[in-house]
Amino acid sequence: MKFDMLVIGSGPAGQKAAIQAAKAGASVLVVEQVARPGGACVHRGTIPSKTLRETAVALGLVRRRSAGAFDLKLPDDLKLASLMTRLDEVVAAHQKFIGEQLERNGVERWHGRARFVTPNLIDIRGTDGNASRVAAKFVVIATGSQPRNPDDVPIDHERVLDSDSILSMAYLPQSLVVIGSGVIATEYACTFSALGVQVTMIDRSPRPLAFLDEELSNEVKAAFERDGGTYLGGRTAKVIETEGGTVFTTLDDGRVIRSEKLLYCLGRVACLAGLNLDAAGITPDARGLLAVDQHLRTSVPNIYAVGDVIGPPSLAATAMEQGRRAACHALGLPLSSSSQLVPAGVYSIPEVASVGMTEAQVREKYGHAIVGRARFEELARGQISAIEHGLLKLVCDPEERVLGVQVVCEGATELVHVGQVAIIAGWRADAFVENIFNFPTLAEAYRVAAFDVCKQRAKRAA
Amino acid sequence: MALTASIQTRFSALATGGELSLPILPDAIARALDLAGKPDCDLRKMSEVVRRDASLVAHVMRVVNTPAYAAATKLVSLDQAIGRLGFVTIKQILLVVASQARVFRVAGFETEVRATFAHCLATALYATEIAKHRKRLGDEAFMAGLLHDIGRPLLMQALIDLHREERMTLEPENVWPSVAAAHARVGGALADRWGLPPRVAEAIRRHHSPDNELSHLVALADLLAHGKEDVGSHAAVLDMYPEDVAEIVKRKDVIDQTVKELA
Repeated sequence: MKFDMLVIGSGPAGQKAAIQAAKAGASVLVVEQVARPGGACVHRGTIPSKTLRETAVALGLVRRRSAGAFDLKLPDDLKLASLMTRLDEVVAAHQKFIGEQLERNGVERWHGRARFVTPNLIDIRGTDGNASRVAAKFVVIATGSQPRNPDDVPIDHERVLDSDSILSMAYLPQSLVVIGSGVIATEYACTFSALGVQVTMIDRSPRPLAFLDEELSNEVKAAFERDGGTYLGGRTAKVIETEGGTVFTTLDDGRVIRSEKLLYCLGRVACLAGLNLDAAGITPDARGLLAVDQHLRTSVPNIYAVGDVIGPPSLAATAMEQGRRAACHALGLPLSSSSQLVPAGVYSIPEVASVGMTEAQVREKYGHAIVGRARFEELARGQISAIEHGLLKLVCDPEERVLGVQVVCEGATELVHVGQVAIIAGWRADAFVENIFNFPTLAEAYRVAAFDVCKQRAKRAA
Repeated sequence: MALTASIQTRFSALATGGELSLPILPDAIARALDLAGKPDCDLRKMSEVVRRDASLVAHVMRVVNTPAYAAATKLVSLDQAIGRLGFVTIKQILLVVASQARVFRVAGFETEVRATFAHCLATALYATEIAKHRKRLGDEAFMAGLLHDIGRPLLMQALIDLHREERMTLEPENVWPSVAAAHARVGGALADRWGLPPRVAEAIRRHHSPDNELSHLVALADLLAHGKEDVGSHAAVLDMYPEDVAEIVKRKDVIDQTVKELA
């Protein structure tokens, strides 16, 4: 069989590549090795963890907003599954939606594993072992990633778990050590901490989510610690051992941390095994990732790679955009420049979101940055919603043009889009002062931050 | 000669009517299973519970030193075994011991029942390997695998008892056809009685007509334990490709050896 485009993997990156190509009239085949579409996003990561997080956040909110009127204590033997009773429905609904969307756009979907024969010929093998050979003008590799499991870490999915198995724990543990400080590590650390688990994060990095603006990641660290979590930065776990129901983590400074469970979240590896990339003429880099040019093309011109297989930031939204861009480039469709602007959202507690440039980046490019700040506890809505901490940064160039927004606050992942639109529209900070926002809302933070920019102008003038 | 009408009626009532008396778990094992599932389970408590029954310690030590569990070093003490293997594994071992002592023992049919136990243990070990391959703890898979055919010896014993009561001779050729139909249901009832998770009981009930992940997993392990490589529909549901199945089958020697030592 012949297709204009073959997409390997049906996660966020693969879906969007396939749909974009199909919308442009190309014949598209998506190959997915598991029967249900959606990839790790739907089945193992993004959606399940957010469902648990939602429960954790709701508990915290009720506690805070009721000002102690309700004493919400979770029973000691609470089953983890009972905190995610909605999960099956959420996953099923999302999966159904993905399936229908692919179908509606005329994308063909096969259940199987892909293996390159040449850069244009791919064998697709089903679970029965029978292969069909497919010819494709373009191939998009969107196979995603899986947790890295080093040999010296005794991952037994009982006491030592990885991000694929953490949600299969039967009970909420008393204590949890999280190795790592990236997005997945931080999200789980915050969620379990909010559920009352004694969480200790251990990582070489001095603060969690170190790739973010420093002020933001410090806010996350502070919130995590206020919630009872412990962040041990600048350290590495030398030895991880289990005995009985206890995990012993020995740090490089000799300290030993005991916990009931351990979540190992140090790095992910691209899922490339079995693709037979040699036959395609592609060699992964030293980190096992696929190198791509600005059009997301691998070293072989008709083969693209998108999503986690090309490395950070490994966020679903970024992966979707990469998928779309790869399809557009392959089919010669025009791309506007604004799509370069991809927001990042992390579902820590509180949420963190960022779009455009950071303060440091603006300073480096323009020599000087003007940053308006708003603290959420100073807003009426913040007080009403019992948001005790939170920060919005409106990052402007010396002309006060909005170039970036960073938010840390519950709801940040939604709120950031207001800033994103302002950046796309080329607004100056003034525009937030001159326009009216609903009261009381969290979006008011934009006005407060813009006033802060004005205040700094007045100070400079004086 | 088929079963007499009277026995047939009484047997049907037992097999399908839920009147079959199911064996209870030995006290120490019941306590240990209960403890293993509790969040505050610790090494000392577990060790104490198991030690209450001296013969149990010996049985556990025999199991922990079979190839499926033993690592480089020989496990010599109970505490060391519990520490190294963890509560989940110890619980599984206790279940092996309990089922072997209480159910897989039918006077007059020793060979057949030993073969059934061997098959069940192999199924449990294959099921655990499949679950691990799918990055799951495999505890439910183990339990469902171990007990999937436990209805057979239970019904067999019931059939023998009925014949004894009616002073009839049980023809060996009547045994298997009689127990086949209801064994899955009875196995599920025993799992309920022993307080195992509802999903485990359900998977045992449905292992010949799987309808969810766990029941398909047990059905696949069942086939592998029978040495069958044609695993068609279950493999598709579980997204297991031939190379994945081959990976599981690599453990055959270890599983066979373990089963040989224990059955």
